[in-house]
Amino acid sequence: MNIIKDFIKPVVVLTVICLVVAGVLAYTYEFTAPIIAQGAQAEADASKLELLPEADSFEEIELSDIDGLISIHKAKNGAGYVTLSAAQGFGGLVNVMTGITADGKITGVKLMENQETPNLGTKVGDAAYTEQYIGKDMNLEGVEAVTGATVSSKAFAKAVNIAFVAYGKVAGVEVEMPEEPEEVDPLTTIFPEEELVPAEMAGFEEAYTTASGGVVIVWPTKGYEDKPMDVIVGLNPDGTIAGVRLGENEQTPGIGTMCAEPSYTDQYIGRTDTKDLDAVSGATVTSDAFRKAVREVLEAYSAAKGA
Amino acid sequence: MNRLKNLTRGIIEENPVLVLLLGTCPSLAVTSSAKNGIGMGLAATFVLIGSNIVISLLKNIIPDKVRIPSYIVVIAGFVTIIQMLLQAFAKDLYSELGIFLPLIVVNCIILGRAEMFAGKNGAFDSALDGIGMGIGFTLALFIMGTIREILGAGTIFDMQILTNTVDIFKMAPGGFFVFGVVIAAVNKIKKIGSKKTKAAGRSGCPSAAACTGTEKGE
Repeated sequence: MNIIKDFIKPVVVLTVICLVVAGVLAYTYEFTAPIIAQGAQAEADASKLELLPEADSFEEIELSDIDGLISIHKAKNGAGYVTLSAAQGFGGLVNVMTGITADGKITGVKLMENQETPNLGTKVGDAAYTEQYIGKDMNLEGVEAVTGATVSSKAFAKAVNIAFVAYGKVAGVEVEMPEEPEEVDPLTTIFPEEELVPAEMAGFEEAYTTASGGVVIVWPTKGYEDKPMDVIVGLNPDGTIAGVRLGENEQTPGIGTMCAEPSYTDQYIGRTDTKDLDAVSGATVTSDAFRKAVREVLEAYSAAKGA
Repeated sequence: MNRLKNLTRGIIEENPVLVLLLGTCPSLAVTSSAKNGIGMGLAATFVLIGSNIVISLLKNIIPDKVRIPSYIVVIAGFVTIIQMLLQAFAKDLYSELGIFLPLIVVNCIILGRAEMFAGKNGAFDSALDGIGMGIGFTLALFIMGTIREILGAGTIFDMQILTNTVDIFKMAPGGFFVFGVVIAAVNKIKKIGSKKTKAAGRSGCPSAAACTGTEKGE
């Protein structure tokens, strides 16, 4: 074992190669960076006019301390603003350029630098998606995500929200960010006006009564692949179903969980049996388990009452 | 004329994509249009020539222990240079190639030729080999790109010539299909059927030991 040949030489050679390559790269970078920056600037300016065609030229407004805002430019003729903002997407930051008129309506949005999956996440840059935004105000009502590219779509929308926050600051307008919908306990939605009082009822582990004589029962059962699900049954004083809900469950999101939708649960209202009910398309196992659970609750309830 | 053979070998006889079956990843990914195919081919050729020359010059200095890391650093250096140059001077192509531009670093053609040729031959010959393989690569991409663009989008270099298109050619399955057909056509042209020389085939690739499909003598 020759120390020099086996240990020192390889290390030295590799290190020297790395240093030389790094040097060449540094030189190339120095020489290309200004050109790249210029190109990016030209592209950005052209893009700005595309988004806010009524503008003439732009001046940048210094605005810091807005998370996600990269820059905001104001049209010199007062036509509006163009912002560059970013939000974390699937593969990295999704940069979005947004054109907003002086009174808060979107004139256009454009996908800029991003690392989203080509032909999937990058579809948020397609007209089919971006056109939705035109004319909308800060609420972004009715914007639909790109199928199969939810994360990219959410990032895009968030970037547009950030644009509005910046707009709000410079235009002196109150901007409401759309709130995340609150989690509502399905238990409380069957008898919405009334308070649920826990009650001891034979045959039921979890049951509540209401002041007007209604009853809400939580019935744990097993659904798809024997995964647990809670079926909530609300009964009127006369024993008919007031409403049913899907409680905590491990059913397949978007498929089995569709049993929570009113289009399915509304069928049960007013009934005393579970005959001839439609299942949720594509979620037969969960629907059948749900229906069986409701039937069991009805049977146990009439047994407890009538017996 | 042995020297000239170094150049011409890579074009048809040992075309890296269609005969050696190296570099199939970008061949499928960026050939949805002829323009992108050529662009990628030229970028990879630049790297190939550069790395072949440098590696050939350094072949006696690089100890065997650090052979692969050294090759990779050199190749990555060239890829980064071409990335910066494209971003500065050919932004459109840069955007179109996307992630596949930096992926040239792991393009088997480049490391494969470094191992199989540049590591064992002189600088001039290695340069010729690089040019030849590069031309072969670009040619293969151009052929595939053209077929896929005409059939899938009806355009050639963005000029519309057909209106009845078959979308699948723009997508992965179509790419594989065209790839297979072109390989078959080239095989026919070369009339060698299934015979491949050992040096050209998969056992020449540095990771052959790890590859489960490589049989003895293949």
